Amino acid sequence: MSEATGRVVDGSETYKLEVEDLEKHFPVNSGIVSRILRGESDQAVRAVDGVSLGIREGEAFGLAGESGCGKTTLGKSAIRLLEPTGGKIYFDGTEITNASGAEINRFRREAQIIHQDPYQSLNPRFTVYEWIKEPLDVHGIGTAEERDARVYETIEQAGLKPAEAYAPEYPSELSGGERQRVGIARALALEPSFLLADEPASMLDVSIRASILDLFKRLQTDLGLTAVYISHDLSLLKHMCDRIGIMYLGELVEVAPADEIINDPKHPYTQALVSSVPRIDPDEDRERIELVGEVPDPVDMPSGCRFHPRCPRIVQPEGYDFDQDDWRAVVNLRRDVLAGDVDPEAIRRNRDDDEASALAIRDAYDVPDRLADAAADDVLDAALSDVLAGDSNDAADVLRREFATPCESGPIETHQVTPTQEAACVLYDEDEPYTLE
Amino acid sequence: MSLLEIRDLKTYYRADGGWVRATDGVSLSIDRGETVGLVGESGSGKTTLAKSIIRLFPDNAEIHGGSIDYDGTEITDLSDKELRRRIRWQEISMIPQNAMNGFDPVYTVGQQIVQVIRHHEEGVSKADARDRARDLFDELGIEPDRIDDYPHQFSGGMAQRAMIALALALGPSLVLADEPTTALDVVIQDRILETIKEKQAEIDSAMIMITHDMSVVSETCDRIAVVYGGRIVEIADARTIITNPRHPYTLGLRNAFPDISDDDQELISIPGTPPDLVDPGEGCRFAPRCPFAEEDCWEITPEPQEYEPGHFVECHRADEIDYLQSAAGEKSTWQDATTGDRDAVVDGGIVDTSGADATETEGGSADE
Ligand code: SF4
Ligand code: SF4
Repeated sequence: MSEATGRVVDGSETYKLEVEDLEKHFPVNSGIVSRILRGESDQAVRAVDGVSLGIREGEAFGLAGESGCGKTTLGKSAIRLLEPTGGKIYFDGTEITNASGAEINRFRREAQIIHQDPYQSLNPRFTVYEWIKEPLDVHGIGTAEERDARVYETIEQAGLKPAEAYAPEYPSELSGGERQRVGIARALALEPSFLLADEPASMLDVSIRASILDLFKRLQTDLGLTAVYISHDLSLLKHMCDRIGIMYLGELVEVAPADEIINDPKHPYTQALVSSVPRIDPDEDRERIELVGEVPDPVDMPSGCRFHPRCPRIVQPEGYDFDQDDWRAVVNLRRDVLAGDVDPEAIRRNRDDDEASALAIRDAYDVPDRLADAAADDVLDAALSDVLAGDSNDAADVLRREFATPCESGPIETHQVTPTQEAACVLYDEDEPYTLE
Repeated sequence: MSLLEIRDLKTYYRADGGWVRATDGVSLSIDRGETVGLVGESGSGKTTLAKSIIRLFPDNAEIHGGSIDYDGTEITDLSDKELRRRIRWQEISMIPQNAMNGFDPVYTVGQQIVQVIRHHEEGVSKADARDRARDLFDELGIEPDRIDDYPHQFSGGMAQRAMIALALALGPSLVLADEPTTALDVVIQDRILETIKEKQAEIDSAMIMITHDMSVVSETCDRIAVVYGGRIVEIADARTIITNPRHPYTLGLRNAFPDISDDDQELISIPGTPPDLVDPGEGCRFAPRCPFAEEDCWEITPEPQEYEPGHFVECHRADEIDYLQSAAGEKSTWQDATTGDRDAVVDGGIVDTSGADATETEGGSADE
């Protein structure tokens, strides 16, 4: 991502929370299982890999992406529940990346997390009262009476009324919605100014989700809180948030106002993601964008744009003119040739053919018998002949050189695509950059 | 004639306080090739209803009444053994919510599929069954060679596909899909729903899709049955349920579900929790949460009424459709509905006081 991310409106904007090039890498060989599977290595899972983002004061910001994209790690690293392995964090304009002692204590009071699972996040041996009071005791806030009063106040702020009825209850006596409210009350006890809510409604029944979301909205308005909501549920984030950021494999690929990112996504990954959400309205015809394969292993990061092995809009090589779907199919074939993974004999066997052929290989990859662009077809044909002759390296060389795409190399710039939308994608390289007033 | 005809089915669970009436007088018929969605929140009894059909429920559950006619066979009369031998898998199969739990971790996925095929079809050689398993994998977009993998080597999406392969291996006439994609990310969910639909059309099987997701049923189902308190409270073609429902609970669910296409939707929750089904008594089971409840609702159990052809509703006020639809769209309508029950004033959750869903977690497993 470029520097620009997060500094959207103008250079003078200050953020409630800002991260710059934030990075959280986990060593791969820390667990016994991965040591057995992969051997000793200094490889790392790049869960968050250079994210820059500013969250505005009072804003509701949504972080979305598929499981494993790093959204939760980003959230937790940004408030130092996980220690980042690189980058900087600013809170209220002050750098807190390496803060310790009184300073980090103050920050920990200001920024609170609300966990996903209201069943596991409460201690079953604590009453509601004890659970909410604990952080006040730990931080030594006020007098005993003040702490007591604060507990009742936050229980009511979380919508549990009358507070006296809830205070002596144990979690086992509460419904899921009520437990989630207790978790929220505890987070509120220290009067934070920032909330990180990790899938705050995903464990709750759909019938009551709205009431928890309403509570967050009300708290943000009444208490002036800034909040980041992490969720895989785009419909929910669209409903809840001012802006949404989409993550893919440790990077932020698009940031935009909620309605715009859903109604008119700019990044091909966001486009695919939004197109996958089923629609309630029976009259809405949804055009699903197909993606190749599944999210790759974060240890083995693709070069260039991390989405390029799956992207339907991957940029075509200079000098050739493919049908885009054919180009995508050729890229898939090229990838396997480069990896030495194309086995003509195996393809023959699977198809029960008499002998291996270039046509069979094309067919296995959904590449047409002839490409519309004759020059491109010649290149492919030559490469497939090499593959059939056992000269995989020659084939790989030719395809690597001739069919190179800018998507697979170099740093990918983040572009200001509209006044409010940013996307990290080569497609916008050629556009006149959107000039800021 | 319908493929499946359920009449007045009652499935109860034995619990401390007595019988939990998880399915309590449900009638439903399903045609060949048809897809019917069962929607409702946890504890509504939707899963029990579906699992009752092939008796995939725990030991403390019992069918207490009613009949299930499957293609001329009365399933409730079959012994467990007959049911297993004649119906499960080859006639009616199940795609569980979490495929990982459906597979036995100590056998390869291929071994399990081969076993199911050979168990149900006499005279199929191991090699032929393996070939079929490979073909199924291929059709579902999994490398055929991966039939030799163990379940834990699969990603969640792949395991779910493999489970679909297993569920379809014997070409069943009816597939029960229990939240088949709930645990998956949207891209994979979408692909899998598409795969299910394609395969289903290919083998012309009917399907019951159990889910809480209004958008999933809207896109995949021909008809939708809304389940509440162990009963079907409203059923109609999918379009009618989504765009023109009459039952207050259906209206509530629709308004509680975030719609990605709606820029200014006001989400409204349904206060309260699903009813305790141990001794539900007379009256509408939704009355404690219903903003439209009147005197009669508490005392007289509503009977299903047909409003348009095939559109049945169990509600005393369903003929006031215009009023119900507009009032249900107002947040204040639901907020003002109080019952004096503390739980209902705030909100319920997935805590299920009836115990019905606690006992609904067993998946179908490959060794059935
Ligand atoms: S940079 Fe290329 S591969 Fe990546 S999203 Fe843009 S078009 Fe697709
Ligand atoms: S019968 Fe009465 S309580 Fe039940 S849903 Fe209808 S209006 Fe509400």
